[in-house]
Amino acid sequence: MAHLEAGGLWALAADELPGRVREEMEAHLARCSACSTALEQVKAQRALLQDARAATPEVHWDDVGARIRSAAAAHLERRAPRTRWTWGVALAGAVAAVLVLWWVRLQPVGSAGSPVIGAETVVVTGSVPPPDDAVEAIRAEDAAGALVTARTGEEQPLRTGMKLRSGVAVKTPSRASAMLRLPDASHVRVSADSEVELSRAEARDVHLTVRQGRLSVQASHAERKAFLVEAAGLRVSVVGTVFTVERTAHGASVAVSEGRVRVEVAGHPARLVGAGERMELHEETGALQVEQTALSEPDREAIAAMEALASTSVQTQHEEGPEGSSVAGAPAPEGTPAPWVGTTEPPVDARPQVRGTAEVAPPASVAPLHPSGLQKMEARPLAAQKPVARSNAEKASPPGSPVGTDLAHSGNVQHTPQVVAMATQPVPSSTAQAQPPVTPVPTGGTATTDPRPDLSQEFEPYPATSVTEHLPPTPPSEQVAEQPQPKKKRGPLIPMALMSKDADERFLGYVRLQLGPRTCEGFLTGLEEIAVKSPRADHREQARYLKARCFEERLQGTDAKLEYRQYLNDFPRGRYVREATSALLP
Amino acid sequence: MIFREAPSLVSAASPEERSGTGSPPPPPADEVRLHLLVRRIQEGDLTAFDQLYELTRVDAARTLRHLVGNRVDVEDLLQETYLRLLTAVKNYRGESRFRTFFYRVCANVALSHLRWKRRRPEDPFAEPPDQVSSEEDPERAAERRQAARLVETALEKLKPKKRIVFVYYELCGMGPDEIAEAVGSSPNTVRSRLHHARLEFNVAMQRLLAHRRPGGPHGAP
Repeated sequence: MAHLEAGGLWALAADELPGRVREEMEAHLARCSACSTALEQVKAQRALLQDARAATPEVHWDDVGARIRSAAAAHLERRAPRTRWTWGVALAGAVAAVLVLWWVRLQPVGSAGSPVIGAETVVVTGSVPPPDDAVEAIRAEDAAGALVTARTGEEQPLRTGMKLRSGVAVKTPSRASAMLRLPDASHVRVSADSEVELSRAEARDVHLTVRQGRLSVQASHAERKAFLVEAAGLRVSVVGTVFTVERTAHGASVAVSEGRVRVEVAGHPARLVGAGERMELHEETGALQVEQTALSEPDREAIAAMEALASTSVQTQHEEGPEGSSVAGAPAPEGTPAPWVGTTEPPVDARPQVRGTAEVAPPASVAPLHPSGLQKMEARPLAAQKPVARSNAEKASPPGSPVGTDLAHSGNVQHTPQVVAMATQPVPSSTAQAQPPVTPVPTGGTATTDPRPDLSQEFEPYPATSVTEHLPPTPPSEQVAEQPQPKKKRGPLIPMALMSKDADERFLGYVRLQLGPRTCEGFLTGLEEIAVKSPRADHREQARYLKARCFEERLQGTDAKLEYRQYLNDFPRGRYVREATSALLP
Repeated sequence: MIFREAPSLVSAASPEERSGTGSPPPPPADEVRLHLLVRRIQEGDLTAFDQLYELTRVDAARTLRHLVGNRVDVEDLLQETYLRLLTAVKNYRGESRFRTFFYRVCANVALSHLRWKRRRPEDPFAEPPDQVSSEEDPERAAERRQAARLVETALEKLKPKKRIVFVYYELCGMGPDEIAEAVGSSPNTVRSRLHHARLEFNVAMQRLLAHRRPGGPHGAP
């Protein structure tokens, strides 16, 4: 009787067999010693398996756990539906932004009633020359608890004095804020719970994207190509002003502290919003409300805070060099009620505000102001604002007084921040509003500011000497450009033939490289083989020619001539005909 | 009497019976808990994933070690397994036991690794890392290590699919039906693979044991 198979023994040892089969097998085992031995072996193996089963591999659980957790967190983050929604909004915003840009370029003057894709554009005129020492990098001036996110997704805490490059994002957790000085001497403040991407920050081209939260901007009046803040479809472009734009629960709002802005909203004529005014857009209804008298509490707080901080930063800049004083923009923490710094408006309305996003569009694109809108805005009664402006003006320092002292003053005394704001911000918005006809309307594509001093003004609007200075004509943008210069293209280090998949081609490549009197002999056989048998004509041709060259190298003239003749016979129009014929010449 | 085919394996041999100290299958209470955790993970709850990881990690490490051998970095495979689990978990509707689902993920990870390894053989001189289990009788631990090493050397002779079935059946205590679900084939295929795997394992093991004898495969001198 044949012996039991190992499989059966395994099944028996594992007690998997039905009773009848089992009995048969046991009967066999009783008779057959070989099978009994085999069964013992199987049982021993199973015992080993039992032992092995209990062995637990040594794993560094801490490491693995940390790795898996972080990877899982990233994974879940990616999968979260919230993220998808954000992407949708971002996409919509991008589309809207492109459309707005396109529309603005298409129509130099926004005609009344023509649709603008849900965006608000802010243009402020004024002229503060940028300081000469404008750094090419973004500098963090105050960074309490903020984080910098690089493009790669790495996060690191933002430290004061840190230089940032374009492309990073600044993120502030709650109760933190960040104050940044841009290369064009503008100041931006990222409020708490916000995220702002510094898409591009060059002296002549600034592009910020607010992903979340609020951004307050004090733009310098430097000449530049564009200063653009973008957030969820909202684009604001600016030439020197102080304002804050935020996205409220039901739409968007623009609050201007200084200067004048041009706002374009879909389905509405372009309008101007002056200092101390606030414009609100309700998304659902598309209704546009312009409230001239009210800056909301958060607006004022944000702006005041920025001003306060800016003044201190200007102070420090002033110590460093006279140029730094020209631009002062500093955000202050939103949570602390700061004295109203804006020019004209007394704090009136304290509307609750949701997170906002500020966008500043390039001045070039928004430059053409709509005259009608302009007039509309200016014609509005601003009686309430006038007295305040007056009082501000009275408080203001005498014309021509050095900025540094003003700023120092503001740093010490809380009740006079208006003075500082006026002094540092060359365009007195109150004036602009009070006297509509004087408003400068930039012509053409460049929204340069009008430096004309207003004669009716009771104080010198441009006390800072640096106001009249301009940025150097050459844009330093190349130094800040995010993309490195493309490398010069070089030829491959190894001839491509050597990398070929075709063995013949590789061989021919080697021969071409190493053709010499000493090495040639080794190639001859291979070359002959290729020349005769290769299915590819170009290989045959090359092999024939190389063979001839080989003979030439070895000073075997007759053989070489024979090969050349052969070559000319085979390939009368080949690539090397000229070489062959010249070699055959006596 | 010749058993051409392994006589019908009594699938009733419950995994609980066969599973030794190694991987006790989670009792129903655990199963319910795991299902709850999965629900929460599907909703994006990271802490639920943490808990699931804590509950299953030892089992996962052991299974992966058996599946791929000990020359491979189990930690990398663990990470891959849990990431795949995260991806796959959204399609898990709780129709099968979580353990089956989990072993399916392990099997996929191991299979792709084993296939990859076949294309790129390991460095034969790489020393398998020693397994240290601290709170055990050193002699017993040494025995166990020795056994594990032997078993894994024998397992390396098996083709990936057979190896997975063998490991799941013999080492993880799963039944053929459950394995079939976990590896995505029919129970009969599983039985057939298990049968062949046993034969191959038997041969490999006998060779190994023979080599370990003082006189080599031909007995004592």
